[in-house]
Amino acid sequence: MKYLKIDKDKLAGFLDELRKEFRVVAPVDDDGIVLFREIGSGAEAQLDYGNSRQSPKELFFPQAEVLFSYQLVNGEWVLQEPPPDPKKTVLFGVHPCDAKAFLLLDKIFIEGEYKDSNYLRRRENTTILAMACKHPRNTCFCTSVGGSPFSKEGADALFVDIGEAYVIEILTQKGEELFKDRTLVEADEKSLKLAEEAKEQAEARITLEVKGKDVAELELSKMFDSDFWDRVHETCLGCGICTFLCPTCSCFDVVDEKTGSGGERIRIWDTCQFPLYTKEASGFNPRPTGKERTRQRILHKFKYSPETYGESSCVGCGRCIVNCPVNLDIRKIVNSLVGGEG
Amino acid sequence: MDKEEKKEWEPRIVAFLCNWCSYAGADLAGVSRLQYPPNIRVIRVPCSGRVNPLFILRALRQGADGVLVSGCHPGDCHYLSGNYYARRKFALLKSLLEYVGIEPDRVQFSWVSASEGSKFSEVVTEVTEGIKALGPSTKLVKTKPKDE
Amino acid sequence: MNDVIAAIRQTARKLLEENQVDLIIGFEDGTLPLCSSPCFIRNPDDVERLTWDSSCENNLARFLPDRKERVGIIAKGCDSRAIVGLLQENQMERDKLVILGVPCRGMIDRKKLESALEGKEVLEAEERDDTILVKGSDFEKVLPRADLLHQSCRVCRHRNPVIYDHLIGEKVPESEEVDEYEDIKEFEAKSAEERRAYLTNAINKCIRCYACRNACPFCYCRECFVDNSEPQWVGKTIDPVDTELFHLVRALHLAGRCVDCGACERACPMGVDLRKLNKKLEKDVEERFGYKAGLDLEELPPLATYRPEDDQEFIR
Repeated sequence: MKYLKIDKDKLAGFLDELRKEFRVVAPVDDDGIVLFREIGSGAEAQLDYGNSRQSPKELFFPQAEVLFSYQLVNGEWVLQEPPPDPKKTVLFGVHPCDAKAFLLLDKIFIEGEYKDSNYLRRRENTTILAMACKHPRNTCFCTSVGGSPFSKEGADALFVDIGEAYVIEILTQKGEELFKDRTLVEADEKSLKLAEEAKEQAEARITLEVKGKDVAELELSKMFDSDFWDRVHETCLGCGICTFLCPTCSCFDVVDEKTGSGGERIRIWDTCQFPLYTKEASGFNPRPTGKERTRQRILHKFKYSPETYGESSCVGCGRCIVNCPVNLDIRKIVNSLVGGEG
Repeated sequence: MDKEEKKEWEPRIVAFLCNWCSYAGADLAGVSRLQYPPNIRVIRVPCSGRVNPLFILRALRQGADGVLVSGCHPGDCHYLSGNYYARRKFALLKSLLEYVGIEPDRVQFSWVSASEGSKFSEVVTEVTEGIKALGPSTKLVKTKPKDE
Repeated sequence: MNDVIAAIRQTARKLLEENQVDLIIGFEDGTLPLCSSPCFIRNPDDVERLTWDSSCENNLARFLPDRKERVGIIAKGCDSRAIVGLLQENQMERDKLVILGVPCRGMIDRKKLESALEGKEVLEAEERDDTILVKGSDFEKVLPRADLLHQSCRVCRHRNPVIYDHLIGEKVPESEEVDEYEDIKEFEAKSAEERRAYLTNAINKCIRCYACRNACPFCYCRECFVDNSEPQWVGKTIDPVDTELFHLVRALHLAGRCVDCGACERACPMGVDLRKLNKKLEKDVEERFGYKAGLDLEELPPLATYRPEDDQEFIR
């Protein structure tokens, strides 16, 4: 475990140095909204932000990904896969909740029997420099779902803001590779102490406990048919914003689109919140109303994922709470469910 | 196929013609041996009121350089009022397309009756010239036709 | 404001106790500062949850189509016009609806508040008559309410409900001098290149989440044109052409129906300037056909009728 230090006013320069070798993706201000984009210069990176509007999952799981194209050439069908990105990527400034989310996405895309080769390649070619969360928002609840604002999970290195500088904790071999031969000093005792204090302060900020773990303990057969869901789903618009912004949601659809004499097979984001998602070719829909779909979202995150993957797939980032047009609050739903209303 | 000279670009224009008036007018132009540019691809519809704005937008999306919709004169619609509804829909569509910066000449409309063979050939000539002057469509194009 | 809340609760209680309705749809306090949440009440004792303030922004008419129950619904000006529109389109029966009309002074746009505070988190907020007091972890500010109103509220010409069975509170004065199409006229005056540049930039923010469609009371089609695959009108990726076509067609489908409640723009997580398109069509419909959505139950929708003298200058 190695600790480095970089002064805040040197960070932009450091990112520019990285840009010579890597594609650097960082949080930027896009017309008042913070989004993860490739930066054109180190100065563009937003270093102190609440939460990005969209999660950085699209770096590994793009909104629309061409799987292959097919063309009729001399009477034969020719399939072609798109060329991989030539440059390796550095993802800078992700908060620990989003970094942890990558590990949860890995369980779906690369830890099963079948590996998604595009996703795997992107993950292997990306170094993740996380930024510890000094000011968790009121809507954050990572500590309730096994995370923390200073968690190291999913990161190759963790930056901690100690006022005038950042302490950088190198966490993996990939992280070591990145920082090798860069002119950064080692962090001194005082800096390390400041980092530790910042961690304690940040963790103390999150006070609302969300009983996510307790949902996993509830008996599914009782929860599933409860009329709790009848009441909870009614105000939901089924708009899908929660799933589109969620760092761990990974439902997708595969579509074919014609292009002249051939076409492309494209994987696109989909959402369990749309009725069309589960509609079967016969016309039958196992999740016909908002009730089943809202229940699905909550139980998937807090019950099915623990049973299948050993941990909940909610990272407590709060994006679904902040952006829901009708303020359907997952914290309220989970706590009510556990509190016996379910 | 090697060509010694590059062929001059010719616009592809999709023309929705109502069966009872404009299509018949086009037919009359044909039998009267009236000349008009060969750039239109005709789609016969029962009435101009049948034309959904989605058809027009889809044509542009699939690489049409222009779209012409032609129907009966108001008052003469075979279905009595189809073209009146069409008139309202098309007014809004045309206004919206211009608002978002699509060249106005790309999507045009006309009233051509079954006896107006010469009007039909004039309309097609003018519409084609207008679109030719604009060059290939670039703005709402998703896919180009097969041989491009 | 407290009188209004008391009156809402009282009326709702009466309607439920007297079995005039099966369900009340209103607003309750949200879990975030300056935020309300729609709420569904079936038990008279639950009416104490009902509230009313400048964060009651959702268009509750969105919950009406296809509902079989008898509903008592809270409706501000724009919501009531949406209800008129839905009744014109036979989406529910008038005698199954009890409308509690609430005159509205405009709703706060939380996104405007966020940018006024440069992204700082609001931990507490208190609404006063014409100001909003906001507190964060390291600041306290008083902001004029008028500066934080959503754009559709700023140009609203129908603050008082146009249809109601019970009027809650006093009617508020309507804005006399506001030109609701001022933004559009200013935009129309720009060159085609400028307009195209602005709109393609705005539309490219779209992530095709369809929140705009789902928040809209008039987007109640069982199958939306986007989901049609035979033929596929627009692709489902974030391709710029397909995304532009989605927004153009949705705007066209709302022509003569949209009441500028702003629900679409408020729902959009990416800040797409949707009203630039919808408002333009609203203006065209009013100028060309003399029709304003949601005002007259007896009037035919503009695309379901015609006048022999409708403009045809644009037709050869």
